[in-house]
Amino acid sequence: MASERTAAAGGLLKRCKQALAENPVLLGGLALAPVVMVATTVKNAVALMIVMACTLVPVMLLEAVLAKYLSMVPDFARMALCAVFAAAMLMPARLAVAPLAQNIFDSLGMYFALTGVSALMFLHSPGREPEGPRFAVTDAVCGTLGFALAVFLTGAVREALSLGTFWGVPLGFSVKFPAMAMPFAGFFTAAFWAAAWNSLSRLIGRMGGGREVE
Amino acid sequence: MQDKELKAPHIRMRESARSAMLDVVIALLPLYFMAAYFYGMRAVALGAVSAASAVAADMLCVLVSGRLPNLRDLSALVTGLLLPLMLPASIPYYVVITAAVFAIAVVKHPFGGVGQNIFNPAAGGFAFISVCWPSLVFSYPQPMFPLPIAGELTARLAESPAHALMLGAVPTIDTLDLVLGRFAGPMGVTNILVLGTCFIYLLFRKVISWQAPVAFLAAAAATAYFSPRIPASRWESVVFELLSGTLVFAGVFLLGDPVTSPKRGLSRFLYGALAGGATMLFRYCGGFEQAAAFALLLVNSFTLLIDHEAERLFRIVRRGILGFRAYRRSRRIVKKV
Amino acid sequence: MTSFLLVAAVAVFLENALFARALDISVLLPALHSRRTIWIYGLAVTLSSSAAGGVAWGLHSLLQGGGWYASYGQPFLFLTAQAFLYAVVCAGLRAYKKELYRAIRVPLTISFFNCAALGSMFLAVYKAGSFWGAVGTGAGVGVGFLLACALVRVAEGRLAICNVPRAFQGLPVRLMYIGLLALATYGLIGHQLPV
Repeated sequence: MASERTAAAGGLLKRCKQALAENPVLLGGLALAPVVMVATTVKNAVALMIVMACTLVPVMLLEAVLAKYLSMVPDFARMALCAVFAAAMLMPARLAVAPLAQNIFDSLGMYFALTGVSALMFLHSPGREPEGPRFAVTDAVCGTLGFALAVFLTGAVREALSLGTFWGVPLGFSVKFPAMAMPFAGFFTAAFWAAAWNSLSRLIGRMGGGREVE
Repeated sequence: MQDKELKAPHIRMRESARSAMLDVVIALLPLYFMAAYFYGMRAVALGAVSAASAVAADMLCVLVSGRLPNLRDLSALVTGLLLPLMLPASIPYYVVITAAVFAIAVVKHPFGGVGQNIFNPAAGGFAFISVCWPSLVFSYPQPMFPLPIAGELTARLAESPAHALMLGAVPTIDTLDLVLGRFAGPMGVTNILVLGTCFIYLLFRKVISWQAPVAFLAAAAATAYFSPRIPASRWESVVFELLSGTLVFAGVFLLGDPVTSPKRGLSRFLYGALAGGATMLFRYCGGFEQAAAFALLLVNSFTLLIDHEAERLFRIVRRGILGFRAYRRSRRIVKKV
Repeated sequence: MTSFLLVAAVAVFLENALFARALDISVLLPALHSRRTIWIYGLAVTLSSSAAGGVAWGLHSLLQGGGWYASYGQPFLFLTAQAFLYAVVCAGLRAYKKELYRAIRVPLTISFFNCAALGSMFLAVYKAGSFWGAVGTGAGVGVGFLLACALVRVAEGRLAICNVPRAFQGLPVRLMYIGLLALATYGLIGHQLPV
């Protein structure tokens, strides 16, 4: 019994490591729209993280429950139910995001709701098999962490370069690049972070003696 | 028996990538000379700073990718020298440094470096700083008033004729001044006579081909003639559209980039015409008075497609001509019979 | 009909969903697999966005004015409407065209639940002035996605022969390519603020 629990814990840990090394946003290309368009400041990035956490974890848990216990429900009905549930989760997400800043929803625009939809993309990430609730929560937490990392890195760099601040605190840069707040700069920033993550995960793979992540 | 080293018989010229780049650098020197004549040594200093930044960024990118820098590669130097010529002489140094570093580190190296880039690095660098600092990039000092190399600039800045065209007004400049470049504008693009000489030199040295620039200017002229955006005669519209802004400069130096332009003659015609049409569309409908760089970035993405489709079009046309000739021959035979 | 065509043309060329608003990126990557998948995903996104645009216009006409609608109700209702449309389409296909449903199940799911489809609902409501304008916005999003896919696919051929650095191979160089095209189209359209 104890050995089974140890093996299960080891399996979960391995799954976590793999999920974090294969960042779903920077390497998988999921949920890139909010990262590219509105991750222009750290505050926006934190708001997006909260939305993703509020939608992804409950949705993946629900999908695992529906798959395991309601096997008579067709696939498309399960997907539609998950979508409605994700939509419902946007309401508490809105309450959680509101204290961040007064005009946070103006700067997020429609990408607040689109982040909730992006959570649904994680259900179809390549190589993902719907398993029990425990693995679903692990996948959801790792997915959220991966998204949080991507959006935070992008938001921090863009805020520093375009406004010369971090969370509104001036960094003392004499030169600012206003174009870094534009969508095309989001593509460039995400690309450079993806390239850096690519190299890092390859290095970690080589150091761990495991397979290289492509 | 003695081994004798012989040059490969199919290599007829001594040209190489390095000699081609050197020819472009030589072609840019008269433009820098004219810029120095109009605006003082600040123009040359901007060129030097931009070139140094581009070369440094290029070397750093090559080192980061695990290779050794090739000191014989002049492509970064060319990019660095091209950029300031599209800018006002009053531009701060940090702007040209940003443009040069962006051109090399973002537009060139992620796609594989020298000879592999899909987009023209100078056009990309110019587009980026135009978005960052439009008020700095599109305000020009008057010529014949030398600017200090360093320190604060107190010169009065004005808008170029391209700005007047964008607003739908007729620029109040004499045609002779327009040709000689004696008006407020980007420091290397205003003197059309010198640009024409550079074009002839590059053609003579076979660094660029004539199809793309001619088609580019022809398409731009045709658009200006048939759809003028200013209340003047059609020919005046053509003259103002071609001679103001970076159109001619883009046609000579940016369009003919051997890496980003198509390889076949017909493809170059199509590419030039597409670039000319796109530039005029961006000028008419876009928000920037100097639109050639943006249009060129868009058209660069079509280069491979144009090469493929031009080849197919060429084959279809040739088959059509051969088929028509065969049909006429058969008709003659039938008539004889 | 004129408003449909006009709005669709603007959505396709000037306000391309990929280059101006980054809406279709997550769908782009699976779509680029082959020419066939580009057509499948393109058509699926066009149909889902057009239908979604029309539905969003209807909902907005009925419910606008309420304070709760703008802050809490709109995202919930739009996504629920999208889920309902998806369920209806899937149920219909499953009942009458089982083989087709099995073949396009995954593209259909991705095309309905992505930023392009939901984004077109918001765009339809705030940018279009009529029902047909709303449907045209959705259609424009889909056709714009198809064109963007074609452009990026052309680049794949070019990138295959380039010596792209190992770190940039795959997604990073595609993002750089799309970013530079977005910079180019910025010269035409300027900055698109999120709705």
